[in-house]
Amino acid sequence: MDIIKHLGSKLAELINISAPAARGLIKLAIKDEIGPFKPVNQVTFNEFKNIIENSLKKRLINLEIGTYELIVQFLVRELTDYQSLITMGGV
Amino acid sequence: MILFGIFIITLTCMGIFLLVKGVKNKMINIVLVGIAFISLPIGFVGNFVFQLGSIFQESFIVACFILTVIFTNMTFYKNKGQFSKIVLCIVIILAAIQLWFFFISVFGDWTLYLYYIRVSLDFPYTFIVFNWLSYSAYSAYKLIKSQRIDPWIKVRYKMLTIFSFIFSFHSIPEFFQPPGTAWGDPNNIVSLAVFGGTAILVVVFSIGFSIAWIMPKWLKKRINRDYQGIEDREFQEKELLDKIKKELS
Repeated sequence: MDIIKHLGSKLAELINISAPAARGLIKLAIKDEIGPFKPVNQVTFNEFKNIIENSLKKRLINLEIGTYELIVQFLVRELTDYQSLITMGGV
Repeated sequence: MILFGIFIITLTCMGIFLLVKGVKNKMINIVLVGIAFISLPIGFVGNFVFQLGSIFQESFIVACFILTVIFTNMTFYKNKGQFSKIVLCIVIILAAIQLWFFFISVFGDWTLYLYYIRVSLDFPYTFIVFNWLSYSAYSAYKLIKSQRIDPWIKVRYKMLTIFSFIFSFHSIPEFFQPPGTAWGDPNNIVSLAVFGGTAILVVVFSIGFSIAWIMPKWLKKRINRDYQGIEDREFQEKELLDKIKKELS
């Protein structure tokens, strides 16, 4: 899903890890928040926002990323700017 | 008649496609735009084929236009301030004014003066609805064009921008329609030209919009032919977290 690719590449730049690892981290956060059964292409804007603000934030804290608050704010802004990818890439 | 048929068939197919996709993927905005593009042919067929009248037709056009703006707002403007809500309010007011004029034309004293006021207000109404969609798609395209995103998605943004922009002008020919003459009257060259101009704009939009949304797999592959896609391998949670910790250290 293109919004995950985009957020993943931004997260990778921010915490200096590889893009596949960052995308994997986001996918884990999605599973934490909405469970393993909901397909990723059915995740809505509001759910993505909650995922970033809750489960991804927790995972960043667990990884001892000091700037997690700034990263969460940045990713929510990116999600808001690129929100149309959820629809344009999802149909 | 042929143009009318193409318009009805393409919009109905696109509307049903979007409705089914929206329900399947639980995307409310796609469900709404699907209903919007099914409404339009219902209105036109009801009026021109079943003679249900202009108020019937206009009611479905109003539904289509308002749902289109709601779709634009839900797709591009969540969490982005109040401006999109102002646009929706303006469109609802202009839609209500159009419906009021249609009621007057059927049940009240319809004058040439009222006709030109209605047509003058129809232009900003249709212009705002489809230019808003066009502008939104273009603004989003500007953001994504340099990003590593499937090219067919970028093409979809471009098509939405171009065809919505073209369609936002479709009420202009109405200014030149001779009052009191039936649309496309073969005995009146101006009326025929106005009808032809509108029909061409509408058909170009319906075909372009349909291709943008119902893009066949072969076309997506063709557009993506020089693009190296991103394929992720599936990690176990522990394996992934170990990898991240290693990369962080």
